[in-house]
Amino acid sequence: MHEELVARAQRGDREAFATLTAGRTNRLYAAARLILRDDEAAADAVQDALVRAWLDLRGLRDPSLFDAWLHRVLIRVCHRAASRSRGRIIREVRAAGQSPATTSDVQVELAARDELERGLRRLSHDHRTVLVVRYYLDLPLAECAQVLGLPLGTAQSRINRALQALRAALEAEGRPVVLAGEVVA
Amino acid sequence: MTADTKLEGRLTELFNSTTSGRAPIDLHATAMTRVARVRQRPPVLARLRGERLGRSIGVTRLAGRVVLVGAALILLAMAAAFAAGALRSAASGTITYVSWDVSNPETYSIWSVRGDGTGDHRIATGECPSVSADGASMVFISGRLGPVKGQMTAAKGDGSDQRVLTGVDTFKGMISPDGSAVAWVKDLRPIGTVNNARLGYEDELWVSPVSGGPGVRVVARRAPNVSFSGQAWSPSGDRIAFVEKKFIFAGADGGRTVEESIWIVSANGSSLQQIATASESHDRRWLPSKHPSSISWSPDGHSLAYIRESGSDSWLTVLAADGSHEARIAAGFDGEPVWSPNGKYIAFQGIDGLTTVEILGGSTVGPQHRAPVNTTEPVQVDIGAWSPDSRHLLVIETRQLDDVGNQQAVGNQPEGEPSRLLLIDAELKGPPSLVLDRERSIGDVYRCPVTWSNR
Repeated sequence: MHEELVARAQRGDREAFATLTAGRTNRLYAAARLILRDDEAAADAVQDALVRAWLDLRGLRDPSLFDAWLHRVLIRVCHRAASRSRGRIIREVRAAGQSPATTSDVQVELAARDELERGLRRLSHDHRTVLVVRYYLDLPLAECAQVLGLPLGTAQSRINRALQALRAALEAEGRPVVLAGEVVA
Repeated sequence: MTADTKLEGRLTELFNSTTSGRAPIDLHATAMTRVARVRQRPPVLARLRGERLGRSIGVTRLAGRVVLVGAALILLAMAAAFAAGALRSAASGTITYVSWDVSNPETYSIWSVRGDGTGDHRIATGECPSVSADGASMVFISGRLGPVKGQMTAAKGDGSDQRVLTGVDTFKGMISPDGSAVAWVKDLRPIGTVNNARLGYEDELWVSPVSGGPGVRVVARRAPNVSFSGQAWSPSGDRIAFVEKKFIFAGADGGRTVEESIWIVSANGSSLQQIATASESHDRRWLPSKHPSSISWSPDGHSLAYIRESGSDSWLTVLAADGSHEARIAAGFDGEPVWSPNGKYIAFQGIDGLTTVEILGGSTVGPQHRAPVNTTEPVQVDIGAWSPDSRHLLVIETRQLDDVGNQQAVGNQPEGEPSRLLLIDAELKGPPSLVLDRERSIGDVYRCPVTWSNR
C-alpha cells in the first residue's frame, strides 16, 4: 500500500502524495521542533520538506525507502533553516551560585529534565540533529546513517560525539561562564 | 549501567515526554496547497544511471545506457561551457563571502575573491560581512555566542585593522554606502534568556561610527515582542529602511500572530515613519516566516523592492519610499530581491524557489526572464549580489541531496554541502560562468553571505 502510494505520487498523483504524507506530518513536526527548538520554524521546515519531497520524489529509486528519504529531506531542510534564518535561540547560561533547589522527588525529576533540556539547547545544531534522529526517530544505526547521509562508522562516531557534547554541556550547566571579565547571567 | 546508556535512556524519556504536541492543524493542508503550485522535477539522477528512464519509456537497458552516455557527453559539454564562460566573464571588483572554515568546522570564515575567480583567500574569522561600495571598509559579526548574538567588528576591506565596536549584543549590522557608519540591531534580551516561540524579541536599532566611538540609538525598543531586521541604507546614506515584526501571542495553544511593517528612519534618528504594512496579520504557526527578509533600495532612492505576502502567495512589490503607493510586479518566492546598481534590473527568486532566479527588466528576452541555473542535479540557488557594473548577477548554488543512495553527491557533513558561486549574465547571454567552487557551504546564519564591491 505504502509503496503503491509512493509509486502513484512519483507519477504525479498529488492526492496519493497527500495521503502518503498526512499521517507522517505530526512525527516530522515533532522531530523538527526538537532540532530547531522553535514551533514556527519547525512548521516552516515541515512545509518546506514536504514541498521539496514532492519536487524530488521522482528521484527516489526504492519506494520502500520513502520514510528514510523523507526524514533525510526534513533533516536537510532543518539544517538550512538553522543556518540561514534568524534562529535566535539564545544559549542559556547560568550565573555563578545559582543552582536549582529541590525539595521533593517531583522537583528533582523536573530539575533533571530541565537540565537535560538546557543541555540540548547548548548543543550545536548538528549534534542535536544526530541525537534526534537516533533517539527520537528511534532509528537503528544503519537507518540513522542513511538519514544523515553518513557511512555507518561515521554515524556511530557522530552519535558518540554528540553524547559527549551533551555530557559536557550538562557539566557546564553547573559552572559560571565568564565573558570579557564578567559573569553573564 | 554505563554513563552513556544512562544518558541515552534519559534522552529517550525526555523526547518521548516532550514531543506529544501535534502539528498545527492546517500544516499539512497548507503544504499541499504549496505542492499544488509546483511541478515535480524529472528524475535526472535516475536517468543518468539508465534505470528509471529505460523503464519509463519502455526501452531496453541497453538503450538506457546509451542515454547515460549521451547525458555524460552533455555534462562534459556543459562543463566546457562553464569553463569558457569563466574565461569570458572576467568580471571586475571583489566578492566577499562567508563559508564554513575547512580547518575548523565549528566556525565561519570570511573570504575574498576577485570577480574573475582569482585570488581567493581568507580574510577574517566571522560572519555577516557588509562591505562599503568602494570596498575600503567592512563590518562583520565576530565572537558569536549562541546562534545569533555577537560583536560588531569593523575592519579594512582586506580584513586588517580589526576593532570591536559593540558588546555581545548585536544581531546584524549593515555598513553605510560610504563606509562611515553601521546600522545594527541590538538585542536587549539578557544572554540567560531562553528563546522559544512564546518569548518574542526585544530589539533596538543603532547607528555607530565605523571608526569607533559612541553610537546613536535611532529606534528605541518600541514594545515587548517587537523585532527589527532587514535594515537597508538608502543610496545617499541619510535613511535606513527596516522591517518591524510585532509578535502577538494568543491563547494557550501556542498560536501567535505577527504583524510586519516597513519603516524608514533618518540616519540620525530624528524622524521615523511607517511606510507600509508588509503583510497582513495572520497566525504564523504554519505560514512561512521569511517575508520580507530583505528590502532593496532603488539606486535613485525613490523606491524599495520587497516580497509581500498575500494569502498563500508572495509578490515582488515595489513601494514608493514615501509610502504613497506600491505596485505588485511579479510572483516571487522566499525572496530577497536585489536591485542592480544601474537600476535596470531586479533579481529575485522564481516561484519554484529552487533552481531559477527571475531577472526583471531584461531587454533581450522579455521584461521578465528566468535564469535556470542548473538542471543537471538537485541544487538550491540563492541570490548573492550584482556586480558593480550591473552586468552580472552572482548566485550561490548549493548542491542538494535528493536520494538516500546519493550521499557522495553532496559530501558527508551537512555543513559540507558543496557550493559554487556562479555569474549569470544580466541579459542571459550564454550559460552561467563559474567563479568559485567550494567544498563547504557558502552562507551563514544571518543570511548575508555575499557582497560585491568596486575594490
